[in-house]
Amino acid sequence: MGAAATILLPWLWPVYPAPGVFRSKDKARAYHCERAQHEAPSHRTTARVEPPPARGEFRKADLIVCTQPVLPERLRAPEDEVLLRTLDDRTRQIAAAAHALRPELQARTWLVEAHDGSTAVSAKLRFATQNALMEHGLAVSDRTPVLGYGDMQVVTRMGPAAAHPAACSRYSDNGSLLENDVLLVILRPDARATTLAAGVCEQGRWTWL
Amino acid sequence: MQVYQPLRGLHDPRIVDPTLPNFRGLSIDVYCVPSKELKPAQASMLCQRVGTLFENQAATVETFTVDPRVSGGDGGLGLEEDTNRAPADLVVELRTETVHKDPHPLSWSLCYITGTIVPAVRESTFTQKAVVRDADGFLLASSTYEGRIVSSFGIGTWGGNKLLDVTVRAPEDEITGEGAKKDLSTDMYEQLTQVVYNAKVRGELLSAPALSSGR
Repeated sequence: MGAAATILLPWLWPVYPAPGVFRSKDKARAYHCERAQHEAPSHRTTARVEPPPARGEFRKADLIVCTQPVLPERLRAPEDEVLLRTLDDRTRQIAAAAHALRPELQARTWLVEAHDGSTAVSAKLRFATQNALMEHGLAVSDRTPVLGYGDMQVVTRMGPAAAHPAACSRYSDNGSLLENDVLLVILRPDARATTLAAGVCEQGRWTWL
Repeated sequence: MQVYQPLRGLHDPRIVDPTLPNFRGLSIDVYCVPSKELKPAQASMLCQRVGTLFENQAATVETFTVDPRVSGGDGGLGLEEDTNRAPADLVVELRTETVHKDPHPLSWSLCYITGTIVPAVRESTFTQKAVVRDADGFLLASSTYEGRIVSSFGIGTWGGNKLLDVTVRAPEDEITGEGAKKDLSTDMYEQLTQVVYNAKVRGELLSAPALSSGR
């Protein structure tokens, strides 16, 4: 029995889904987990977690909720993966911040621009942000403001900190951003950054969120 | 024998390479907050390691175990007082907390009874919060990392895993030895580099004056 235990037990430990005999470290790292409160599990776990009995439990429940990404690791470039994995959360936060910081713009038409090194990621960012704005009951348009050739020559030579306020001013001057329009711009400020920056342009005035 | 599992944040993709001079010309204060789980001596050691991480990336670093806003540079000892010291471009605040501990008492009893053939297991989940502010105290970036360490003790589990390490597992998947500590350190240092880099970029974007002023 002792010999059997010696052979079998290492195959049973450690606790799932920590890396062990059946799981390589890479497989264990594919899970994204959170230690959830049994009393108040997050919105992602509500459907699967039984509420505790009314009179409590004999021992404290140990609840770790893990999810596995739909796409395997390393299928997308890390700079794309880091944004797309949390696309909904990021765009919802930006939309909520824009909505909360400028409540007076509620009745305007919102336009969205997204800038990232990858065109596909930019398109996804833009679409997700439009959806997030609509969730707040805002009117969203698919229109995009345009800059003239001369403006483009100037703006593209500037860094992001100066380029967006300058572009905002030109959008208003050339009439491509109307008085009733608000432009929400989302950008990755640096190719090696994993965070997004956002700003709002309305009537030629630029505000970083 | 210890096994490390990143739960949240620690294994997120990172882009910044910590072997490059990412913070040239930047002064960074690293403040490691002592707590019940992190004694001042441990906080000082953590600060020195994280300080070395940023120094290797060309930053000028000072470390603290008391709030740098109320104390001068001290190498993590909290002894000196230098009121004329200019504020650093970035202040990195690190807080460690143990959010869950499970000593699995039954496993320890069984381990004792069976002469360590049945492994005794101890499990703990920790969080590491990193907050980066500019010289004015404006929040530039923050991140919370969560990981779990499962320690098992006993000849059964160690012997079995050692055998598998030697015969079956690839070197990077080995469980016995210092693999867990090494993996945790690598994850932590790379994520800290990324969050400080994000803060630096955000500071530059918002034209934080602290980023253009040296010490």
